[in-house]
Amino acid sequence: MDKLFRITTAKSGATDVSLKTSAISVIQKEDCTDIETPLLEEIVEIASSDSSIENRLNAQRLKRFRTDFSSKFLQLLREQDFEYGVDTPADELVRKCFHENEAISKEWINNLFVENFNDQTVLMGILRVLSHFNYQEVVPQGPTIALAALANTSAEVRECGIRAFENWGSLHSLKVLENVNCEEKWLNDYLKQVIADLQEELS
Amino acid sequence: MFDILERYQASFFVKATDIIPSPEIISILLNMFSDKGFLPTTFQEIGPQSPSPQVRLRLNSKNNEWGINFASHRIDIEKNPVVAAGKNVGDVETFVKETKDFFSRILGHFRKKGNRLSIITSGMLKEMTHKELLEVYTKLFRPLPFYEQNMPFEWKYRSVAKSEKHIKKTGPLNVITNINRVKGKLFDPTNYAPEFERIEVSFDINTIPENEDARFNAESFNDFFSSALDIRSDILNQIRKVLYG
Repeated sequence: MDKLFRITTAKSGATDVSLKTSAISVIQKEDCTDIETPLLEEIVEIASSDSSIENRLNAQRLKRFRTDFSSKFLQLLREQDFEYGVDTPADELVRKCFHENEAISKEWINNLFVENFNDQTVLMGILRVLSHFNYQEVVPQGPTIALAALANTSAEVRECGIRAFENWGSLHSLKVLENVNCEEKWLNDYLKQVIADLQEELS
Repeated sequence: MFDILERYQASFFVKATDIIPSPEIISILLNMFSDKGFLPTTFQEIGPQSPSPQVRLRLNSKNNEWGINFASHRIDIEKNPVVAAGKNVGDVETFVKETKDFFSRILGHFRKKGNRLSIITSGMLKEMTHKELLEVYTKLFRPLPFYEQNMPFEWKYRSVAKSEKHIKKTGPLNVITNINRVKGKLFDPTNYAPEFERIEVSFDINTIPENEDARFNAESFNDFFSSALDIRSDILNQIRKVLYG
């Protein structure tokens, strides 16, 4: 993907912060509807109506996660054999990330999932890792990812999505699975079995 | 007029606190946009209306060209560049047509009325020589003596005005035009990163925030986009005249 980066040769961050809190920037915020300039990183605009300092800090944290962990995580997902119920180095890496910043970790994984939607191995790996967490630990990105998986063309990825909901075993999971249709008979049989098990478990 | 298209964004200001990343809502939206192949993802929202961080829902096309952000009080539809020079972004008229379709789908289901509409566009003009860039500055500004003697290599020209002329059903519009001299790097898939210095032109045209009545629906975009694009076109012509004669 192309990206434009503005080189801020003559700016200091401190000035930007003070501008944000000035009366002028507040007035401009009301007229301006822009939130962010996604292509133009490393720049602070008072014109950006409500791109708060916190949002920019979050963007920087997410960027750091991508830089520090993405290639390592993807490599682990591609190289490892996963077994349900057994923690792998990929699980350990994600737990370490969660410990550091849970909110950013979940957003980072969600982005990785979308960016690698054509890479079956990565998708299945992410789903397996997330399914090892409790539902409450991964909500809302966990079920968001698993739902996206159910829209994948690969039956194996969809199976992993169903299995993630099965592992989480929540009432939400049951509601989702009851509305899923699978064309493949083997997958549909598995889905029906999971729904029956969850109904029994949650009744 | 634009050599590089940066992005387009249309926004509908509406209370959307119920459109959250829950399995029920995601299923509805995935069905709604099944022909587009959008995927659900999330973003953190922190702003004046949500001072504590909230996880909000975003729909993304697989290549990130399209994004629909469901913030707590606004829905933003954006089209981003994914190929060289933003050629995929296309013309603004096509963006507007697609956006109206997307908002119709969303508001057709969630039956919401909003209080504000907005369109943001930005792009960069073709490359200019150093001399031409300096001339643009002198055409737009009456500089202080210091900057006359030391010509600036970065500057921003921002104008905000209300347009009463284009009132139709939307009411007066805020018209914001930014003309900036920017310096940057273009990263492309080959990782070749040529530096550039260009004039960037962006617009933020929106209905005024003072009227908080939830009076807009999906059809309101017809009048709004028509007025906003007229104004944008007029100003672009004026910029063209000033810059190129």
